[in-house]
Amino acid sequence: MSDIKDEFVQRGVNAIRDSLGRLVKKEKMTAADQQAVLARITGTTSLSDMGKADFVVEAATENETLKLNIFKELDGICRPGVILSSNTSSISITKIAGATKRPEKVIGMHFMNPVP
Amino acid sequence: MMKLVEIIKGLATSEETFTLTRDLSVRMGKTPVPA
Repeated sequence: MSDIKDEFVQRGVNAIRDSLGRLVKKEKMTAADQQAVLARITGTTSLSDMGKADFVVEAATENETLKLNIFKELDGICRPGVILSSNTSSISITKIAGATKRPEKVIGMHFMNPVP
Repeated sequence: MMKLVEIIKGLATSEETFTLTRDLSVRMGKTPVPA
């Protein structure tokens, strides 16, 4: 998990720990499984560490220029064949893909809750 | 927990990329919704 500041990375890890902690409390997950999930997460403030990833989900601020820059960088960092996905809800995937040399490997992956 | 994942293809997105991303969403325990 990469972010621009250590404190943001820590905030992300804490959010995952708390979210899984609620499942542990409801006995939908064991504390050991919670620890196992957390052990699989490596935090970084250096985007170059994403070179180790097999699949990337970008979830930066909803700003087109920012996302285009991130995808251009990721394209240079990640191995060929690695899918670069974006959690965007409003920016064109075709446009984001155009910032890379692997447009066929770029896709939108928008995580959301069902409308009640 | 977020239940749904809207999967959005760009003009150049390959079928292989779409299928892999959809399958990964299911393995994450999410319900994929093609856009």
